[in-house]
Amino acid sequence: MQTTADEVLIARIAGGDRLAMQVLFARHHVRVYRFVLRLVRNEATAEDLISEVFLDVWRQAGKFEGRSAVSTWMLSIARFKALSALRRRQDDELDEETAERIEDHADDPETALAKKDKGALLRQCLTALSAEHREVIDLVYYHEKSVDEVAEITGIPGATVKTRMFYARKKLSELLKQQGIDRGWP
Amino acid sequence: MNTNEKEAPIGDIEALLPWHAAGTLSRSDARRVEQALARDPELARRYALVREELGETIHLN
Repeated sequence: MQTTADEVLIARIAGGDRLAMQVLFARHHVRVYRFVLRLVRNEATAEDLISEVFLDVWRQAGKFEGRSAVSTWMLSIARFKALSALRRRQDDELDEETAERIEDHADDPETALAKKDKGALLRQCLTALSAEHREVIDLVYYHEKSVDEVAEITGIPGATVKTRMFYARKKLSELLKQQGIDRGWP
Repeated sequence: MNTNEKEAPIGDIEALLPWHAAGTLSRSDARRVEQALARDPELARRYALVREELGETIHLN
């Protein structure tokens, strides 16, 4: 089956084509939702923001110049909205939620089971990374964004993108070491 | 910005490993990384760690 390129969909959306909007939404909303959820760490907020992101896409499709991939453009919009939402959120509320999400190092049955599975442990450590580090890892590994695309989405220089990715991975290794897995790096 | 991000530069090739694993490098950079991996066993071992991270990140999402 032949799929319509994102750029073509955007051109149609700019012309008011609702079906094209539905196709674009179906194609990207899960990835964009997960990206936003990592940042705001609240499902209801993430769902609200996704609606706003796609509303912006609908309204701004005519301004899309094709200088980056459509998915990169949408992630940029999503990131801006997520950070704005975080700024609006009360600091104490954020701290409370963040504290709740910091993993308990005690060996409850679930943790003990996870320790038997290196992959599960690695995933557990990924969730314990800071939002900044998790963001760059998700953009590179899951969203398959190049250095330049991550730089565009996050608004930092390409060299800093590489450094941030390095330190995110280094932190991941440190967390694994705390859990008893020494990867011999860094 | 994290203060660590201002520290000493990381090896050029090593810094590219995550993008090589994700398949998002330019053809010339990918070739440079492939050549380095072929001649450096330690780099190849670290690349295996990167691929592991990539797999689990996708699994997590």
